[in-house]
Amino acid sequence: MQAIAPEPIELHGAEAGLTPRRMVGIGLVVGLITIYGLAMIGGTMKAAQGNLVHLAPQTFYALLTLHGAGMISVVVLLTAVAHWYFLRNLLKLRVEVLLFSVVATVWGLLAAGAAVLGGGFGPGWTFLYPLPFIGTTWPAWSTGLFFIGVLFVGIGFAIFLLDILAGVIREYGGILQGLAFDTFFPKLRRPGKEVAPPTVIAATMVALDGLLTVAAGTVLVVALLARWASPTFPIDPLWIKNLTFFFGHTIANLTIYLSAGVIYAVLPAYTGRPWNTNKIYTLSWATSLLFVPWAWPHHLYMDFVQAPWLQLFGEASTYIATIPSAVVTIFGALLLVYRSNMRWRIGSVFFMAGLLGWLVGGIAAMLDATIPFNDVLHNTLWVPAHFHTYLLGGVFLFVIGFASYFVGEKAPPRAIVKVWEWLFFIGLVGFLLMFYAGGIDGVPRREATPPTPGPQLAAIATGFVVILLLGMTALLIEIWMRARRHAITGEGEGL
Amino acid sequence: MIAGKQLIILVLDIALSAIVIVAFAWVVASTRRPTAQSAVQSGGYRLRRSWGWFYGVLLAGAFTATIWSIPYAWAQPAQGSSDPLVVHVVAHQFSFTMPQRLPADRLIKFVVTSSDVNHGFGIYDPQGRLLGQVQAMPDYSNVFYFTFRQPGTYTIRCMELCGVGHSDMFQKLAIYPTQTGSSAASLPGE
Ligand code: HEM
Ligand SMILES: [Cu+2]
Ligand SMILES: [Cu+2]
Repeated sequence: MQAIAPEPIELHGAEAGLTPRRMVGIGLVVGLITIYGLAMIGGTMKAAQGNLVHLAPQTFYALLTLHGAGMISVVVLLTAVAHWYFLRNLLKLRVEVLLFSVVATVWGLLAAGAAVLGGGFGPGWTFLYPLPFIGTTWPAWSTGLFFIGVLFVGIGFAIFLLDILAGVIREYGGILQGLAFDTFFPKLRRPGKEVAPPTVIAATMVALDGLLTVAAGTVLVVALLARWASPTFPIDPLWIKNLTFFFGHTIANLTIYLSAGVIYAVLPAYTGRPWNTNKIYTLSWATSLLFVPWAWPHHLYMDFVQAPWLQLFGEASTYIATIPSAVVTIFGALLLVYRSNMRWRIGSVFFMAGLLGWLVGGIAAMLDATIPFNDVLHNTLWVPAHFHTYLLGGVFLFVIGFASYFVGEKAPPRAIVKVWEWLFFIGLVGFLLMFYAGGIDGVPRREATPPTPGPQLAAIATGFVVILLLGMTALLIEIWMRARRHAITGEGEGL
Repeated sequence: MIAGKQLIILVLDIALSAIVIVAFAWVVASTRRPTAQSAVQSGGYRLRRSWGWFYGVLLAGAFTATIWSIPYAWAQPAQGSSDPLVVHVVAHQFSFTMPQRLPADRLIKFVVTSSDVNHGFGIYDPQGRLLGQVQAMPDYSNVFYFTFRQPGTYTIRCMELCGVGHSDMFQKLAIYPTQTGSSAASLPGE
């Protein structure tokens, strides 16, 4: 073989300008790198709780705030980008709008990061009034800067959602059609148009509830900014607590519904089966649309002054909001996979594991959302236990699965990948079990120095975090190397 | 160690999660003998219908069962009639202003508020088990009925992030037996 001069390599998709594919790739890289850093912070917090490293309490609470706010924002960003990737084949969406949203989110994160790392802002990611203002250990500028950062993240998300809503109306003629109500009222359907696929139904629901959430979040943050500027600005602690959890619960919850849109698009590729939908899907997503925004009162069960009907309605809504997931989406996914010719790749493994995490976390969430159980679970480690199960063990797995799908995985993975997957999942499960153990033992969450058995459990959990991070690093490198290879061979998404 | 409500929760959580995990494992294993979608779809839809009904009834049952045992005063009218001992609790950054000794076997009406930020008021028994809690919120008073069943040294712990000293915000509460009647009675193990 003779040596040949290297030829200029024609990169796949390297046309001039910002292609949708490249934009999604940028979003994924930015998001995953940020998650990586925030996960290290998470591990550091565990190590501090386990007395393996020393952190001053104000440092611990600053890191806790950054980890929580950062993770939620990044996971919203990543699931939104993944969902967008499929939506742009179904709706006319503008890549510039996505770019704007990503940039706004990144600016918001940078501002919040500066407020936390530079100023030490640390009232937790829910920044419950009046904690940002009373007995603080951080300068006032960091309070204001953090809220401005949150506003940026909210603006980025709102623009993204508005573009989707506009796309749905342009393509299907209206919001009702986006929710597939034309399965019940065929007159609504545009001539020559098919009923909206589930990816679009999910997008319409997320857009509506998401805009409601961003509106609430804006009111919340503007009120806090007013209080920041003028200490006499009147704020009612109970009202703002409701607003805070309406915003915080719903935004975190919506990442699951963004993920559902991705699952509807991806599982058919791995199973080689179409995801058939019918009227049940319309009803199911309408139920989510109506009840997801009513679940927040379960965060205020221990505020006994709260109006009785809200407490009961909160419990009922939380229960009802699980029906679409349990009976339609997750059941539908299992039915699609059942006896299919499933191609097992990193993507499909992570999507299935994520669905399981969603369910298992959901079960723990429902127990917590049951009023007579809540008085021994509220604000214990049971809370981070369940939400890490469906955010880290659910939504984040969907993100990794999507990244792998996006890069393209026609060939089965190398044998060694099994090892990385085992490392990742062993670390994940061990880490989560320690959270649950702490919760059932009544160890409160958000403790810089938790009471026993908190430190012992945290020390063990730190070991599992290390294993998890090792597996995660190897898997992300694997996916990255595959992306480099495929950039040369020109292999695209999917299988 | 793990007892009472916590035990019920743990058993329910493990049992329900186990069912889900087995179902997933079964579906994953089924992909080793693939078949056409048309061969499984209608059976799946029938199963979905039964599962939907079952799940709906389960939720309705759970909801009905739980509303009879909620801790709010308005839901427990019987408590109001039995002449409770009224105890005021004010939470601050980072301590509670409240009595340090209280009687066992007496219905206590805690009226809990805060002088600054949101705090929590969690009651841990002498073995360290969390028995119940309520939030301490500025400008509002939460009324929380509670009866200490056994004498001993309890711990009151803040359950809401309230600032840099949150982890240090706990204090002892001595519960003395009512038979001895007087608050000067000595405590077991003291
Ligand atoms: C390896 C990965 C991760 C580790 C080691 C980790 C660790 C932690 C720890 C130790 C806490 C504090 C719990 C407490 O004592 O209250 C925490 C809180 C939290 N984590 Fe994670 N976490 C990880 C991933 C994630 C992910 C992927 C998300 C979301 C998508 C997330 C969202 C949150 C939130 C919202 C909080 C609450 C913050 C607050 O209380 O203000 N975490 N995490
Ligand atoms: Cu406190
Ligand atoms: Cu506290």
